[in-house]
Amino acid sequence: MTIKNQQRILLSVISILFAMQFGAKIHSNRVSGEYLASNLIMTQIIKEVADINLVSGDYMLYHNDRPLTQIERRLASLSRLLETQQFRQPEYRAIQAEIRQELLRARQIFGKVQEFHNRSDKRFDAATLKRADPFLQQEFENLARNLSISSQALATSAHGLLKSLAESQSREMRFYDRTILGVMSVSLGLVLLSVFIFSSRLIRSLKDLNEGAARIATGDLASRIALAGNDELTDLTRTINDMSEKLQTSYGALEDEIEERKRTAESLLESELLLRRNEEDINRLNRKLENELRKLQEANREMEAFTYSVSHDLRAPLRHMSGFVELLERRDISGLDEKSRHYLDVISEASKKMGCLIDDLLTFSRMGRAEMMKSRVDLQQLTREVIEEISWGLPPEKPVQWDIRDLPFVTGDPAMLRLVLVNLISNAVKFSCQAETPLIEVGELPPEGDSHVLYVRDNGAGFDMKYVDKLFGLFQRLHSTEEYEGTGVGLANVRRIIGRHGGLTWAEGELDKGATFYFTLPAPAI
Amino acid sequence: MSMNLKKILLVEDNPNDAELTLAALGEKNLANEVIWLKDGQEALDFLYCTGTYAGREKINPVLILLDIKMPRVDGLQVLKQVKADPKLRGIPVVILTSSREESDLIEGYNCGANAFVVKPVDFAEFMHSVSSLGVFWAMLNEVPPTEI
Repeated sequence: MTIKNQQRILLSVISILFAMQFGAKIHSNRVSGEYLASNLIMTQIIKEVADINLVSGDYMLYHNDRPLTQIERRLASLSRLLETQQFRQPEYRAIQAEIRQELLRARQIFGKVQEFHNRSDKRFDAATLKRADPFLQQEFENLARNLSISSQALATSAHGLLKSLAESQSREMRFYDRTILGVMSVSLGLVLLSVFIFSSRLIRSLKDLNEGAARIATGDLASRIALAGNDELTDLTRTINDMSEKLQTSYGALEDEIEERKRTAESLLESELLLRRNEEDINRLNRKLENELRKLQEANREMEAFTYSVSHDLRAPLRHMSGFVELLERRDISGLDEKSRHYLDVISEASKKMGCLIDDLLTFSRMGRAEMMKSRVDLQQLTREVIEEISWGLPPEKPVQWDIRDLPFVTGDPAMLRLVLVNLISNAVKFSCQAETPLIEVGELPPEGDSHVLYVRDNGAGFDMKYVDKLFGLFQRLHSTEEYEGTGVGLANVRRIIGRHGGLTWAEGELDKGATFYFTLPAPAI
Repeated sequence: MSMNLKKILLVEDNPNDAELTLAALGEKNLANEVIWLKDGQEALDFLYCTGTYAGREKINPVLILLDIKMPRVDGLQVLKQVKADPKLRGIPVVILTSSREESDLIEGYNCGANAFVVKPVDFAEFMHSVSSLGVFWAMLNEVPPTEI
């Protein structure tokens, strides 16, 4: 049963008890009122009776009309009083009936007295009457006496009733008081008992609940509070149990989470350690790499110095060879035969070619190590300049058809880029000179990322794609020197320069159908 | 004209080059005498009239043709000294070298060279270049009067 219901029942019981007491009190008051009214009536009856007694004495003395009238009135009033009063108790009714009987007799006597009085001409006294008619006088005296006796009996009966009424009242009042007191005591006891039981149960439950909650509060999430009864506290207990279960679940999840995080942190630490080790490795490798790089740079420098001095020192004897052959030729060589003169020509040509080779090599070497002076370069303008320069020395009988598309601005070393264009365009001119109408196209493909893709295309001798790998190699030639002169350094130079600009070079071609040389250059940084 | 008296100095360690240069200069029939000096030290001796040239006539040459790579004192050192000397700095100095190196070129001009000529491998070009040089610097170019 819920506490609320218990409380309701208790309150109802208390209310009923108090209502009962209240009702009892009202009843007792009413009873007491009834008694009071009865007493009042009885007192009046007694008074009337006493008056009748008194007045009848008067009549006996004076025999006048006035006492008779009073007696008559009193008798009527008595009848009225007796008629109005209704008793519940049978004994009272019996007494009442007795009084009525007595009253009836008194009236009969009084009727006779009146009759006698009217007959006796109303004016007589006892002495007169005695003298006139002693019998009548005797009868009259008897009547008067009887009336007096009857009234006295009436008074006695009324007194008796009054007395028993008073007794009865006090008895009944005592009963009611005792009853009310008893009921009050009992109900108070009951209320106290139920409050005690109720509160002690509540306290016990609360205590259990408190202990259970305290257990949970101290961290014993697995503990559950025993369920007892079926009231609000049970609900509360259930709720707390649910709560602690949920708490346990979430605590478990939390612990798992913490464990997980701990593991993550550990693995992070491990990764960091690994990372640090890796970093150390990288640093070591970097240092090694730097060392290697330094060595490489050193070797490069030595190599460059070597190339330089070789080229430089090679030039002098070459110059001497061609110089002295020339000097020889300027002298009188008529004595020499044809063959000797041919030999002199070969020596001269060979030394010239050697000179070109050395010049190209020197350029190649310089392109590898010269510091780049980067700036914004207008390729369009540069191409026009280069073409003008090259066209200047071309034979006029087979003009080259130029197709120069829109070319971009790029970032790079102008002198180096000029060399790239010179090499590519002069190559194109060289290899297309055998074509019917030499056509050379310089243009740009759609840009790839940040790079411009440029190309130089000709309709000349072309090349077999299976040798494409050799194209950009140093001293690599796909054609004989007799066919097309050249040192095999030009495209190597192009690749070197474009490479230093962070670009790529490649070529496409088909034998006798022309070739296209591509290179990429970074777009200028804005 | 005092021009006939003035000499051209050729400072060149390689006898072949010297011979070719002399031949080239001879081509134009320049009246100036060409003195061939085999290295920088000889050049300095000549210019300051010391050593083997202690007793020479104290007249500055009209032109110095200077090679760079030479034993003992190299061309650039000679050039620096000449251009640092108020009495000598008026003499035109043409660097005549096999080197096409940019660094040599820059260094040469920094030291005050009046011209920088790379000896062409082709003899015809060489003849043309050297004889033109001789004509320009020795005959056409006017220098402020100087004395030692």
